Amino acid sequence: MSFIKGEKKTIKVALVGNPNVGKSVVFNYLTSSYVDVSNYAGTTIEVSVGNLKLSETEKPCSDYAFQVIDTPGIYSVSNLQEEETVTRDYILEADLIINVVSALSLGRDLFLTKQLADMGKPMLVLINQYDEAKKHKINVKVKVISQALGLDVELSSATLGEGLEELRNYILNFIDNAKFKPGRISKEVDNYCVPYLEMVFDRASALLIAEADAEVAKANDIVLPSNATSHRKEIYNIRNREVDELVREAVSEIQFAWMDKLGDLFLNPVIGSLTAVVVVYTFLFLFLGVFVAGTTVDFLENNIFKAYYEPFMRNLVGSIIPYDSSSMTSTLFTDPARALGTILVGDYGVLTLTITYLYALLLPLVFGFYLGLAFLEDSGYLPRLAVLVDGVLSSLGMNGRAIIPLILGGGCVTMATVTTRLLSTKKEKLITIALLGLTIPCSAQLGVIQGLLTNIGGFLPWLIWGGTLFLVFVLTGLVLNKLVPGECGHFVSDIPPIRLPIFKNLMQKTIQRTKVFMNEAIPAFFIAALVVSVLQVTGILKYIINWAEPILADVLLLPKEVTLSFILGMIRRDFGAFGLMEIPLSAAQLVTVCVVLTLFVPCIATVAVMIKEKNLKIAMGIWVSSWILALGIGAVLARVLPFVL
Amino acid sequence: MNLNQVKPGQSIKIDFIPEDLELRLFSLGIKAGDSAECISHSYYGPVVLRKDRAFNQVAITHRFAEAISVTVK
Ligand SMILES: Nc1nc2c(ncn2[C@@H]2O[C@H](COP(=O)(O)OP(=O)(O)OP(=O)(O)O)[C@@H](O)[C@H]2O)c(=O)[nH]1
Ligand SMILES: [Mg+2]
Repeated sequence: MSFIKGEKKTIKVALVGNPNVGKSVVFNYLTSSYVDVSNYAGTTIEVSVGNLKLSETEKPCSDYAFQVIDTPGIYSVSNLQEEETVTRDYILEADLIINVVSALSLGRDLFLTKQLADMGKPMLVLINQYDEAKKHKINVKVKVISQALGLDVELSSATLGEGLEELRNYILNFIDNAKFKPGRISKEVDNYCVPYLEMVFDRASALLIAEADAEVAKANDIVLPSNATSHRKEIYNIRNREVDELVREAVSEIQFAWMDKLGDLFLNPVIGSLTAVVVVYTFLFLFLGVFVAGTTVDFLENNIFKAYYEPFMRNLVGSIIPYDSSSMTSTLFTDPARALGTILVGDYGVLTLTITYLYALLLPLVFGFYLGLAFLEDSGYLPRLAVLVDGVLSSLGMNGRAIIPLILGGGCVTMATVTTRLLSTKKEKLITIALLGLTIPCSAQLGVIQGLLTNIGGFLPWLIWGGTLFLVFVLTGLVLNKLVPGECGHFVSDIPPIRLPIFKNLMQKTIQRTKVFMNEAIPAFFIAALVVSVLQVTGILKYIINWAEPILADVLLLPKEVTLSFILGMIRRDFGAFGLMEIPLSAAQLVTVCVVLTLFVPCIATVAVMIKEKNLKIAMGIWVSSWILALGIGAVLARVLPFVL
Repeated sequence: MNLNQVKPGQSIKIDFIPEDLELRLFSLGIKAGDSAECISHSYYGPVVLRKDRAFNQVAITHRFAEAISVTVK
């Protein structure tokens, strides 16, 4: 508790538990906020802090402010990986711990509960996902568990909102709760802590040192004895035995449902691989390509923005100042009013093309991608896909888990680069970041490219584009696996149950992510449009295009107009793809340019994140390699494709 | 036999887990002495196990599975 004179006292309430048990759903309820919720272990990678929501009547009464903390899932408090140590620090600092466990996996989850109880922290155990337990005819004897642990135990079904108001009240009454007592500390385990209790400040640290946590020992100037690890093993065995006994007594047998059988089928190598092909085809080609980028964008762009909005804007601005629609000559000094008009409503006008791109193209594409992705995430399909691709990804220096950032990269490569934190070794992080930067298109780019490819002639161009990327992906991975020193991580993971996604969560997540994407894209779009318009009215654009023309013509066999796409693509890759929609190209040229723009340099935001997550040298290495790769492969395709398409 | 030799559908008892893997599997609820069912196992892919009386499944990479001794029940 932090006491500051004259101010409310802050009570820190930490939500702690194994991954995927519903901590973030509980957090969102308690604080009325939204942090990401997905059906796989490791969704939360950073601690979130919020204030407990209070009703109008509760606000003035309380002398306390309640701070709620959502932590990344952990399996044990001692011997954590580097990124997990933050969670431990929040646990040590917390005034109250809400230990969220899943009613579906008490045999696993209660291990952490016991460990937290042995730390002597004030705690409530929340048995969540109780609705699913009921569906599986699992009967949980709450009283038995509560007595055995010496702790208060509550049931909840967080996604249905059940049991959460009771939890909120429990937290509110925490201070006055006279019956509050620490959990039952296991006698046998306590014996191991006794030697350290005199040396350190608190019981929690003593326990962690007894469990051979080198970092906590060092922080307290204690040298671990040589038998420390065997002590840990003994403590773990005691705890495990106690949990096994408790679960046998308090939890009934499970009855599996048809959804569970479906989940098992997705893991079958043959059925699973076929399903993966169908999922990719449906999601990328049918949904994103044909429906979103084709039908929806077409309608919005041509029937609304180009039919009504742009002419309206041109008339409006044109009635005040003159403009040129596609002039490349310099008018800035001879006729500044005309130059301004051109910047506003010309070919690349800030008020015309930019707005159309943003709202008729970018918005539906990004929203569509995130909606599809949210569905895959919440259904529990992704971890099953991770199992299927583990063998392949291992030979590329990664492991199955890398499929999550790689797929998220299809949304926004920048965000996905941050998610590589859920991978365990430096080597696999580096390879995943490199492959994301080099070969994975972001949602907007993906959408436009899908649309372009579908428009020119169905499945074959799509297959060539996808096949080339896949090949580059595999070959780059193979090479990097050889070149990058170090160990690749091994895939050991929980597989969550298959769940029917909840519509509200799908929408919340999709809207949230789309907002983040658009907030970043909108200013960048305007700046890019402004830069291009200014280049246009000053006549500089003409020079750049003339200068780059021979490179594009000789290397990629492309017309000079495409230069603009490349310039824009360096700022954000999706701009590059958008520019292409206006240029008449042959099928072979279009596929070439789509491949080149996908492989082309990662956008500025991604480069910034790469520098943050890795360093400048690696970011620049990836940036330069992408130039070489994109132009090299483009040159080959430009010469081969005319014979195929 | 080792865990890699187990086929989907078989029930097994885990006899031995090498020390360097123990902690990692332990946290997922898997330890020597446990009984489990193999849910899926592809050629070079991970072995997916479900412990008896448990709902959650655990995937263990090929490389690790090779070092784990089991008996088929
Ligand atoms: N049926 C059901 N599903 C739930 C319940 N609580 C959470 N879920 C689902 O469980 C999954 C995991 O929820 P999260 O809140 O992301 O879990 P978490 O504990 O924060 O997970 P990490 O951040 O990975 O540690 C999501 O698919 C939720 O929709 C519940 O009470 N009932
Ligand atoms: Mg979470």
